[in-house]
Amino acid sequence: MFRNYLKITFRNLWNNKSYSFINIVGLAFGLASCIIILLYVNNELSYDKHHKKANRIARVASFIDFSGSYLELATTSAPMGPTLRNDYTEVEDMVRFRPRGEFLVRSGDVNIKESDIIFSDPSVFNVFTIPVIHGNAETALLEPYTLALSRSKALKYFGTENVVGKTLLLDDDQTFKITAVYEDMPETSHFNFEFLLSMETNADEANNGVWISNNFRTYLLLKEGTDLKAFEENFKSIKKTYIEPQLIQFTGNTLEDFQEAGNSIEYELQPLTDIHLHSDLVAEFEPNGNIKYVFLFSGLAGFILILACINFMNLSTARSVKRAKEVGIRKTLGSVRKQLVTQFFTESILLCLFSFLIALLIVELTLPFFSNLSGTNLVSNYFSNTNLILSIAGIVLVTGLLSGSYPAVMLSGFQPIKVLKGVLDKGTSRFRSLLVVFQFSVSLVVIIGLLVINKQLNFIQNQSLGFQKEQTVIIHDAYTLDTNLNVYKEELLKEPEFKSATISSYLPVSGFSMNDQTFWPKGDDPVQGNTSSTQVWRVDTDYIPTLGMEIIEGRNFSEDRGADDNTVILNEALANRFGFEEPLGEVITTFTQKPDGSFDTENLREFTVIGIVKNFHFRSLRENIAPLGLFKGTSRGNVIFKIDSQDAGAALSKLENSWKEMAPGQPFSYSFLDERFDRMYRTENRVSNLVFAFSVLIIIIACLGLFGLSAYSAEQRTKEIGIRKVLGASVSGIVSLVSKDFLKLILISFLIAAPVGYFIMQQWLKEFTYKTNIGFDVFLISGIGIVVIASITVSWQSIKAALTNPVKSLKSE
Amino acid sequence: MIKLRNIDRYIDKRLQRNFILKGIDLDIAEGDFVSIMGPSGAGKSTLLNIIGFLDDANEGEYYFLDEPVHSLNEKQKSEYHRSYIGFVFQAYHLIDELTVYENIEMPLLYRKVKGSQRKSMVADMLDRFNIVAKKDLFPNQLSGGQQQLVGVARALIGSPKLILADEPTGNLHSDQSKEIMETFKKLNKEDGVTIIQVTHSDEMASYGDRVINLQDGAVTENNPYEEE
Repeated sequence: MFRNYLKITFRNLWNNKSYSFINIVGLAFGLASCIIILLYVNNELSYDKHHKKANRIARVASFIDFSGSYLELATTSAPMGPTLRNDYTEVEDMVRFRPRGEFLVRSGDVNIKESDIIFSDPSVFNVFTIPVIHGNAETALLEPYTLALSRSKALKYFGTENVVGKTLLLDDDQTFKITAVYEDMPETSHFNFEFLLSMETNADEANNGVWISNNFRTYLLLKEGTDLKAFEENFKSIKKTYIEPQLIQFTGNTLEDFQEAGNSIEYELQPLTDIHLHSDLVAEFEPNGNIKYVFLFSGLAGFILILACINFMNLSTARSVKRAKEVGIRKTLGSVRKQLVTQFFTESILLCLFSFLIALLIVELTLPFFSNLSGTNLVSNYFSNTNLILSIAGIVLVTGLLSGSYPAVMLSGFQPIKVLKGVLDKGTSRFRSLLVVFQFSVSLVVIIGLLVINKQLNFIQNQSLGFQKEQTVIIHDAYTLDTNLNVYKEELLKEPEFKSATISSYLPVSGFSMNDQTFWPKGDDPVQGNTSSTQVWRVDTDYIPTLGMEIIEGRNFSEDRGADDNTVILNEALANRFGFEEPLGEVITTFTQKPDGSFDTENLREFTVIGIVKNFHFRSLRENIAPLGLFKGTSRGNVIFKIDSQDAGAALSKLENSWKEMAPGQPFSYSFLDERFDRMYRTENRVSNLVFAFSVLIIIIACLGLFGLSAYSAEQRTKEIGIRKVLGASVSGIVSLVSKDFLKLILISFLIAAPVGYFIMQQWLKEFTYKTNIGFDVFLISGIGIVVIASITVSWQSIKAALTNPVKSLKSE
Repeated sequence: MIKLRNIDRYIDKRLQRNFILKGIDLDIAEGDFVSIMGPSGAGKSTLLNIIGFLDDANEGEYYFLDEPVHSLNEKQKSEYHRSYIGFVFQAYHLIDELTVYENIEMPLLYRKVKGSQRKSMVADMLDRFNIVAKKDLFPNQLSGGQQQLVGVARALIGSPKLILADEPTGNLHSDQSKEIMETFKKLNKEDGVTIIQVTHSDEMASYGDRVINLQDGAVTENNPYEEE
């Protein structure tokens, strides 16, 4: 009997090639995108799960609200970790990480700038699962000036794995002994260090006991069975025991005073495995994923699959007239309903398996493309994870059952005498219409989403930023030019390609220095008064003109050496915050800093306002522009050139040649300001790309379905069309007759999709402070677009039907 | 074998009740060859469908082999279809996607006959109807008469006690019709299969030994030829 089903299935597929094609290919695309999304979701969800003790590890995050600026930090203070380990039995171990920027790492001739380099407590190998392949994990990082490095870096620097005992020279002046080599950290880790430097090397800071500066990423290994929330509550007492004395010492205020003035310090424990998808704090190791996008794409996958299933249902019910006869015959031969249901489910599951094989092929072919789009390295390692296999098997089965359910139930329910006489209910065609409306509504919502995302990205890119990002090249690590820095700048400015240049560590895009300090107008109280957490950017006199910022009041810094040392140029945000009506000449005050980084409350510094710069965006456009002050001074991180030439390549090679002369042996690296700017919206760009890819897919699937249905409907009506033609109907009249019904459905879909899409995208836009509006154009474009696509799809069939010679269609009856 | 008592079949319209069959009393014994005749719309097919369990009567009682059909459920009816009743249709109703061989084999699949036995039974049947050469063809490759032969072969393979044929020769020309009717007659005489056919043609009816005339849903003449 099963063989009989198989035969029927395959012969049906073969005899109706176009239907089978639409069914199988549509379903295969649906399944393929589902699998790809599943791989992506699986990848996102697997972050940090490879650590054996992952469920007992938590990171201490700090939430600090101080003088008007609220910071959510992935870091905490240096003594936090050791204190918690010593004072609380719940804490079994802890490890702290402290990044100190990039290092030049040298071994013989190999001299490379390394960024994945960090100071770490020796307990790192106990808390995290980082397999050490050479050296002793327990003693590796105990001594100062020792380091551990990854297998691939060992190979890169020495050409061999076992390099324990050898040395590396950092920044050309510190020699580190290698004490361990560890396996490369997997990509699904929220941190990825190639070098671990012993924390002892950084002992001054690590052991300074300062609770109010937060520079250490601290991870706790909790004892088995510790309740995270309860412990979080429990260790709040450290605020009273440890932090208050320092508050009194530095600011003269008790914790209560501090809190009454509207300030607060809170700590939270983030479970390790939640960090990648749920944490978006300041000073994350790398931009994390976002659970919202995991949901978004899971949802998309679901919809794509449902759409593909709907095609299947639609086409099989459309063809049910033909199959109905078979059902009738089988029933008169003694088949019970259950057997028929089994038959149709067998058919759909078989078809689904068939599609699944094609889908696997599609996945293999397109995975590199999607890896690229999503910015994650997706691998089709289905067998690495039982959950993955189970979910894929589940999807195939559910798809088979879902797409087979309607035809199975409907067809098996036919009354044999009715179907053998050819009488069928009209109800099924209404159901088909409903499904088409659903498909196109979903497609439209996705299209609207896509248009709004693109519109917002365009809006951001064309937003008046308050500075000019075009034609600006940033030469990194300018300090390695050492005494040649100014010469380099001046020499190159003599070339015609460069209009102006400035030296500064600070740039209005992410990835460069930020420096935060508290200021208040002279005479106010530093804790209770009108204080403002302020960006302090040290710039030279060329900074404002080179970056194209605009001074709206007052003047730029004077070129004279020694002049303007105690002056400041405020941005509008800071001027407004202090409420200066006549800002020029006002004086603002701040603490000086001690060498260990803590504040010296005895000595205050004062700056006179000499100018106001028009607000410029220096963080993501998701955020408001924060208060900022430009101070005359030197910060030697980068040289920034404004290029006055169409030939950027020539300009770059000049920059590089001079660099090689003046900084021999130092790597030359540069970037363009506009590219750095775009990088801040990488997530949105990726999402936009992915949504684009999947929406094309959704539209294709929906159109395949529409194509099949219109073909069916034209076929159904060949007789009617023949008669009409004989009676004198024109071709265009017949095309519109056949197309009209479908276009009506598309219009209904539009009426459903427009408000839904509007609502969803409105929610998405809420994340941005600076946002575009969802205009009429979005709906106009999506509406016209879908009507055009659908018309082409449908008219293909209706024109074919209309052009058929009526003699043929009438004779065939 | 078949006992119909006061069978009514009607359709309720808004204001009136349209009777298709009204007050049918009928007895058909095992081994009968009955032809149901009458003008279009007399209810011939409906009567045949009721006899074949494909349709239910609204009123009345129907006993098949002394079993009250009006109280059988779907599953039991399927059981009877498998074991006792074979259908032959005017439009043949073969499954287009199956070959001649597979079409004939199908009832056996539903009766869960073993593979080897199935093979020999189908082979017998192909032999008997002289269509061995055509066993791998699909229905649309056959002429109407050949298709109907396959239809009859399919109806017979389950060795039913009753064959119901709804205008089996309606789409055939006279030579083919004769061949089919000869087959029926032979079955009736040699194997004792009960046959009930609906037909318009006196010639076809003459193959049988009893005629039932229907008019407006009622039996007007039972066995008009008996006296001859």
